[in-house]
Amino acid sequence: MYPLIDTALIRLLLWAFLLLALLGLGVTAMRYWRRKLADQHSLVDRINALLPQTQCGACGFEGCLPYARAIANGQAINQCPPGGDGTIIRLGNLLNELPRTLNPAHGVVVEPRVAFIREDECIGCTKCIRACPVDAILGGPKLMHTVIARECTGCDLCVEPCPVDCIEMRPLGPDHSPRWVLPNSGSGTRTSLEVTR
Amino acid sequence: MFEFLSLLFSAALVNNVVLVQFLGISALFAYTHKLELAIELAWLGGCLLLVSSILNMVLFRYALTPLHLQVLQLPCFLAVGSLLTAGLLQLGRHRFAVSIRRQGLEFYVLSGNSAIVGFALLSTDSQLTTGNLIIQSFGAALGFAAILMLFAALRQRLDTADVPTAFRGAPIHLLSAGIVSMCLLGFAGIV
Amino acid sequence: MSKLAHPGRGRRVHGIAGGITPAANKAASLRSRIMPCPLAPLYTLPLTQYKSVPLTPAVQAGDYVQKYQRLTTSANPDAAHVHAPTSGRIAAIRNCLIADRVETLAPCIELVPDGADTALGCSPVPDFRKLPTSELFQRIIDAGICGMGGAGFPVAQKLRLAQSADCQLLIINAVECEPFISADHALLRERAADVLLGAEIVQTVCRAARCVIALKRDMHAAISATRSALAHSTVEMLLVDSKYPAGAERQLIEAVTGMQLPAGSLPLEAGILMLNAGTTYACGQAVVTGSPCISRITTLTGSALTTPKNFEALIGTPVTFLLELCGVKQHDHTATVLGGSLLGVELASLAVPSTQTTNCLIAATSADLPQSEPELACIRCGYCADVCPVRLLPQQLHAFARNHAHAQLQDYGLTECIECGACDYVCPSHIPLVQYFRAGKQELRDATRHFEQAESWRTRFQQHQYRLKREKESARERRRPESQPTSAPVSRHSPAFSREQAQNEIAAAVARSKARQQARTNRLLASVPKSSGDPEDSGGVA
Repeated sequence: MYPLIDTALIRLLLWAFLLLALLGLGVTAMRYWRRKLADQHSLVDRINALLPQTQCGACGFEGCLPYARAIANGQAINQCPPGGDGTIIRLGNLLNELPRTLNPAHGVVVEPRVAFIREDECIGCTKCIRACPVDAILGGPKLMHTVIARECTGCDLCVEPCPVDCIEMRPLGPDHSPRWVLPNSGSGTRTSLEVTR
Repeated sequence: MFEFLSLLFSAALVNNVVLVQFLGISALFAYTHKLELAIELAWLGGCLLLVSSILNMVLFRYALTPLHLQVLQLPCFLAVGSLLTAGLLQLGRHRFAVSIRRQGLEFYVLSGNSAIVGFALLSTDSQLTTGNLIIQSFGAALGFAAILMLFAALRQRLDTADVPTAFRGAPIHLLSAGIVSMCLLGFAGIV
Repeated sequence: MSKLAHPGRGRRVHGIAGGITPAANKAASLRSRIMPCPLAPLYTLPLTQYKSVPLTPAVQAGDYVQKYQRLTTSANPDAAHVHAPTSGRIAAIRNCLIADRVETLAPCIELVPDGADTALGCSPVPDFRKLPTSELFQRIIDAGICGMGGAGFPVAQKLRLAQSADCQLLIINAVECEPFISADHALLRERAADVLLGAEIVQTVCRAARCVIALKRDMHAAISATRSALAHSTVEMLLVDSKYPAGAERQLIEAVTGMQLPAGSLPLEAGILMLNAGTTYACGQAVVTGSPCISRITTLTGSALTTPKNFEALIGTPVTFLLELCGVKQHDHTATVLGGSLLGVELASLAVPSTQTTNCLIAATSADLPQSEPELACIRCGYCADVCPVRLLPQQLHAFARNHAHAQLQDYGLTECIECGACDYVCPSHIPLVQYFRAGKQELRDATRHFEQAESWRTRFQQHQYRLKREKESARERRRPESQPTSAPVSRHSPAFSREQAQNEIAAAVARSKARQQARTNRLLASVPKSSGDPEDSGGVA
């Protein structure tokens, strides 16, 4: 059992402390209000930074930023096929949610691809240019179009509008540069949510 | 002053809410898989514990006891905890954006958490003066927050450690919690 | 005593953190002098340069070239050009296997010597001090020298950077801390004066205030030779501890200046230029004799050789030819390592040529290069942290790398790891730590690349959205005057007109394209029966 202390000094100190604590709480509350908007933005930005930015719209939103806003307001995190499991795990990690499998209603994981226009079939209708979310298709009316492969996100959005079906999605060529691999150590199972791949 | 410190110390470490009195173990395992998150929740939970235990004690000593309504202590404490949680949630919604994104569902779970109610129930039997009880609550809140953060850091290392397959995940976490708990008991000689 | 004991500077050698002292194994190859290399039957000259575009060959197969003749062109004025190591005929220009840390196929010039060794005339300079700096620099550029310490960065580019930066200190790195390699040791032992001359020339070119040559304490013969040569030179000598990796760039800078370079910064940002002793020698020769760099000192050692030696090997000599010169004990020879025993890579094929960065070839027996033992669990002894010259925590990094914890890898400074292998060497559990770190670094690089790409897509998406918004606004602006009765002429953009026309046009275009597709299909079908023939004439037939 604790000894009983009941001196006036201690009591004074306590009340002073409590007063200070309340004051501090008040001040902090004021600052919360002030930072409200900024912080809400920062969460959306952090979510957006984890999304693959292909802007494909497979999640049902117009692009990655709108989806990030929706996630911040409670949308499910397993709607991004281009990101695959890695993105879901990272999002779950950020938002304290258990990672789930990708919702098949939104598509399946595919390897990274780029659009390719078969140029002799292109009629120059500019429909794909309007569809491209990152302006990666170059061309003018009645002129041949081409894809800037380096900027193409592989989102598929240009394939549908093409009236002559001259756009195809081609897989990115495999990387031939030498790669280092982790040694086989036998203890490969991961328990961490910090898994990023 | 020494009494003050010893009270604080004993509440924070020797009689740690989580690992010695085993209140709020759910929080310990549910919210510590990531250090960043654990820090947010530790401060939220700590504040909640401090404020709720003070309120509960005031309620118990100056309302329920004079009215001889001690039987109502449990519903009263639960109500105080839930209300406070809801209030704090509103306050911290933007500061702790990450942890309480989804309508604060998890945080409501935390409010029903045994740490808050349990600590209040335990302190009903306490013979400390009101002032000392406040210090004790403060110490308990500190201990709660510290253990949550320490355990999150520990888990972060455990996750990358080479743990035998059978012990991975929950078993090794429980084992480590037990060891930390015994370490805390070691402080008993100080107070 | 030499300038080492110079009291004016109050100079002292600073140690490096960590480090190991493996058995040096240098005595065997130092027993003989540097030997000139006889002509090989074939020289393979790689056209690739350090992390940049390959050089363009200036000769064709069948051309006759003379020794010292330049064989390449490049758009980059500071490119390190390839020169013919001897006279002969170009056999081919094709992709050959070269050893650039790992064996890769790269475009190469193959030269078959004619044995005459007729050389182009060079213009020797007896006293470099009479030449202007620009002329000195031009001679170094023309010599086509790459850094001979390991990375092979073109020296001309390095010096160009040093000229634009404010270079204070030139460090000549002769530390050669890795076991088995004795090329710089032999070079200094026999040609210290030439190396120091080269150092003075480079100092003049890069306008450094001080020049220090760093040697390891246990290189006794080289130290005494350098010391006697120092009498005629302004270069200072500095001895560093016989530790590995004292010769790594950042570690040597720390040992010489006591200054730790900030993470991610270049030595030149701190006003320090470091060159390898072999490189310095080549620079000196380029200026004094006027000849380009066509050879380097290469150590041939290992227990599988009867007479380990240092050779002045011509660039492009096949590795097998070099090894044969020292007499290979065929039945003992189990592996060949390019480089020292710690950083070297095991060659899968001996067909690769030696290059300017080939400092050492180890013909190893099974005793030299024992089978790596199986990896055991980390016991947290902490030896790796003790020996890490960058003061990292290899044990933690190992755990993080294995778990792909990228954020933590970054926090714990994996990118600063110099992959020296000191941690591997001391690990009692035989964990191949460096391999983990290389894989981890690669994952970090990949993650960064993905992030950067995502960032650029994000920006483009924002710009796209902005453009759409702007277009909508301007369209609204344009429509507004139309609604007013004052605007008389019918706009060209009248929706009914343009939509109808556009639809017609599109329909016509679709028809045209379909026709073209149909034509192509027909053509293909037509070519099917004779597809066994030359595929090229199917187009011509149709």
